[in-house]
Amino acid sequence: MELKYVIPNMEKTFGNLEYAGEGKVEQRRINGRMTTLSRSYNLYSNVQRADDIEVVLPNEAGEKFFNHEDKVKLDNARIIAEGYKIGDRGFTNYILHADDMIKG
Amino acid sequence: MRLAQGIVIDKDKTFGLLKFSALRREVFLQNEDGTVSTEVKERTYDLKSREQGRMIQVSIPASVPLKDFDYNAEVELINPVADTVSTATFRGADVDWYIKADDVVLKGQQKPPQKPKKEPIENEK
Repeated sequence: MELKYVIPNMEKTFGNLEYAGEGKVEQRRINGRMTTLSRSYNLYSNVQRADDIEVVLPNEAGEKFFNHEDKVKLDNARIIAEGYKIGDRGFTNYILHADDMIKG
Repeated sequence: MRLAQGIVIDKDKTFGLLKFSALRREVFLQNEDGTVSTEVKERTYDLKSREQGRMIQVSIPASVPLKDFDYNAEVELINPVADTVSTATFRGADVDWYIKADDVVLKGQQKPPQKPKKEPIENEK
């Protein structure tokens, strides 16, 4: 079944989040000008230790400047899922979207 | 990214108001030789979700007796867990969410205390 998104219980799913560094910036050419659509940042979670947590913020949130391992909080976080395959097997890539990231 | 520890979802924000629709299917246990037995493993219900804007399917273990609420009765999920399965297709992979819960109860009803799971399973057939 499809779901638009799921909204996690941040405390139980991620515990404490710390800033780890900036990720990718998604840009697109609109009317001949490069426009930023979203920026992603890497975070550390003391619950989900397998990978970095990658959060995608919209352009409206602006650029974020934090120090490494600063504690952060996410505003209106939601998780979507995308699939990718390796060979004949399918895997799930979770993508965390949020409206804003603030010092927590 | 992976979420190896699973996702603890906020059921109110994720699903919004839930209304009961129907029993969708019963999943039966398999015998050792691979044939389907008559013992029910879980039941899947269709619920209308306001936040998702669609019907969602939720699986409840068979140790919970069959639910037969009225159509559109407001219900609540007990300890829902959402996870995904990915299937490789010819060009990429499709993701499907699925939801399992301990129980589905009428909204506003007292949550039944956690019963020990050692109840004898009645197998009438």
